[in-house]
Amino acid sequence: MLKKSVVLLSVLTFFGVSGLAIFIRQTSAQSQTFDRRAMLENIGNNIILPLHESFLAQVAMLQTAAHAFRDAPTLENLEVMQQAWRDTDYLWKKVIMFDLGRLTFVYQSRIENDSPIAIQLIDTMINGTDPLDENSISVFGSNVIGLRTVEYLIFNPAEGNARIIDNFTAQPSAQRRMTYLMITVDDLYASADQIWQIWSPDYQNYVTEFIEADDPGSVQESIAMLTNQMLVTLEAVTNVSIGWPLGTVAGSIQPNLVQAPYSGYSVQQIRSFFEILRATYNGSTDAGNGLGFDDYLNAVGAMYNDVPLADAINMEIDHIFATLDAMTEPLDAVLINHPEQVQALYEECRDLVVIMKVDMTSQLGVTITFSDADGD
Amino acid sequence: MATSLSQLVQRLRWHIERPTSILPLVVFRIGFGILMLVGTVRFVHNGWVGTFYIQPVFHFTYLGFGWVKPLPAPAIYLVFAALALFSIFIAVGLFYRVSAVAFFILFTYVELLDQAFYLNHYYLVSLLSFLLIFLPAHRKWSLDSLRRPALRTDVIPAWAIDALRLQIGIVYVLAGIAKLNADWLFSAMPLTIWLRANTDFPLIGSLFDQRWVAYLFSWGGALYDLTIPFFLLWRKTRFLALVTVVVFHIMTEMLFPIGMFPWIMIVSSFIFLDEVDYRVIVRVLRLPVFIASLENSLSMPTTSRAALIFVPFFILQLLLPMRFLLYPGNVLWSEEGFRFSWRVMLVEKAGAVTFFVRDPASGRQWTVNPGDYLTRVQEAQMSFQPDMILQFAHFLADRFRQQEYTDVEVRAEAYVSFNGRASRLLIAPTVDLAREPITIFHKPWILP
Repeated sequence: MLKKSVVLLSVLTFFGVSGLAIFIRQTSAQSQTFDRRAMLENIGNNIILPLHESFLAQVAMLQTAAHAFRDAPTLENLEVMQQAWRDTDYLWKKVIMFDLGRLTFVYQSRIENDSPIAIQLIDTMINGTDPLDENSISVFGSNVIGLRTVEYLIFNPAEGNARIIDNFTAQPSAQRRMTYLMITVDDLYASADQIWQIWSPDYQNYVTEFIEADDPGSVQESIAMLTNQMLVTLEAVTNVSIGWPLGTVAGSIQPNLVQAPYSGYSVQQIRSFFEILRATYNGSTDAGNGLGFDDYLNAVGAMYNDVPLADAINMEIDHIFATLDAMTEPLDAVLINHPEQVQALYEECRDLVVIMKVDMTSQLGVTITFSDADGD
Repeated sequence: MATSLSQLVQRLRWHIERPTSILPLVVFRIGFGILMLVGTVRFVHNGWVGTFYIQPVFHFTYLGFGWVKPLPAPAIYLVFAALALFSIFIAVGLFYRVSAVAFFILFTYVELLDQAFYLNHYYLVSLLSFLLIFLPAHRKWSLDSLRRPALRTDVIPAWAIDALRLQIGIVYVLAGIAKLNADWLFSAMPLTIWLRANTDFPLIGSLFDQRWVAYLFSWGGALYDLTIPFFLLWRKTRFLALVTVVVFHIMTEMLFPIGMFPWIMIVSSFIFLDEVDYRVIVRVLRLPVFIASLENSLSMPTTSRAALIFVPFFILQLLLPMRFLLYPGNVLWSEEGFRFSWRVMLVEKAGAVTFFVRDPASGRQWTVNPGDYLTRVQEAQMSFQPDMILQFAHFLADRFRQQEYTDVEVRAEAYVSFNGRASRLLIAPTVDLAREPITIFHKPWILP
């Protein structure tokens, strides 16, 4: 009797355990677990690294162009330098989206920060007699150096390029102005190089840390961090680059608050940021479309009303590009001639903020790892 | 009738005053003190004193507690130093009553500073430390009992331990009842979202994007909360229940960034052990500890009248979580009556809110990005909590009033996603929040 029940129990246990094992295997096989690490690898290796490499190379070209202008301050060399600045600024608007983890904004803030540059202080230093070297400038902090300072020195939409060359050659402070430009451009290169060294596999190799952070126990740290920085930058572009000139803070239109007032390059800057946002979101690179947030959202079946959330976000980004395409003048001119276009752009950006900050983050479960604080 | 009532009272009295071993209470006191020390050190170490209480230019206060303000640095750090000190005093049982009172007051003071940082387990710590004030937890294994041997006792009236058991039981059972909602049971939300973000969890993580796993965890979690205090009370299941508590909470600790909560619940569950259990533990672990038997302990501290405070205390504990019934709509969406109710890990919410300030006199309008005034945590918490949106709107109105705009209107456009649903407006974007009063009453401008 006892034997029988033991045998019966063993058989039942065997079938029960096997059945459960098969069930788990089956359901596991059906599942298409999204490879988040592969997504980070794609973004890290195929987007972030090439971008930073290009940025450093571009700053080097700006530096070369500046040195050429110092040696021969001709109109041609000025124009080459101005174009090099535009190309640098264009890439910079992409680089800023990856101010992540170990980068901690130290070097970024030397290239550009939110506050306007201190024009009076820059002029005072150029026109003064105090010794002018990198130490004397750095004590005044990041508002007298960086990309915006170079822009101020080498663009003059009101008086034209002849005036700029005159400032650098004939004016009493010409020599000091040239020195100031060289110090600023060299500092730009130093900062860009520091940022590159942090990311580069040949130096501090942060890119591997970024990819590896998606290990067990880290609660998808890198994805949360990247999402966070995408949103921080998107909100900064929305509120500062577009909102401030539109007068959201001042209460009336402020064309002087556009981000690149001297070069007339603000629209391209905004465009550049949305290009990198779209590329990172879709995981798309020059080589093709790799794994990105869109694939992640599709893998978890995220819907936005009746549309896949991944597509809804791309549609919002498309709207922004369409509005940017319609802007044919510098942003300060658009603000005066077609303020409705800037208003539309601002509202489309806010729509994108909502769908990414609210819908995307909650579908990816990154909201609870978002802040440096405990939950519930 | 009168006789039976008096008999009932007598039986109740006998029940709550029956002699019981002091051990569970003493172990709880030591564990609680150590955990609070670790929690305080961790809080300071993470830099949260600065980011929570020094950096913000604005604090979201609790209704009626607007007068509670953060001390400026470095004084605020002294508060945390004192919290650490009193935690140690509680653990070692030195100046116990004074330490328990001081800890309760200081901890609750910190919690009242900003409701953006409200956490259920902070509330629990306040409640537990309040209870400790009235419990004779220092009468064994404490420096106080070394200093004053007369304090020493092995036996205490049962209510001293039952009060803590009741408190922990309330937390579990009400958290379980709160889980009995459609999202949790029939959509496995928000666990579906949270689990699939953790597919790299050791061993079983690859199953976490399976819907049935989310359902299993949801139903299992609800069942756990609803039953675990009873299984802990019942001797036959106590050991298994204790193992379950440890496994369950360590798992939540690994899955979610919920800080000290799992450890508090694990330590608290030891209050359910009794003298017999401790005898077994001492024997199995061969600990050099002598446990006096109840029969041999003659003296027992008498029940002080102060303990009567527990009656209104626990009635309030049961009523507060039910106050949501006084408000229309879904409490998980409107958050009216949400706090102090053990609604733990119930919602996945994210929001984005923009404020519009308008001066009717000049027709000028400003857009305010709350991030210009609030820290990240504050902004994120406000974005889906209507009462905090209202407080911030009043703050903005005050700021503009201090300039030349005496009568501004403040509106908010708040989009919120709730348990995986597409984002939608949380409050009526046309309502002038500057004119809406801050009260406990229902806010009719919350959209359904």
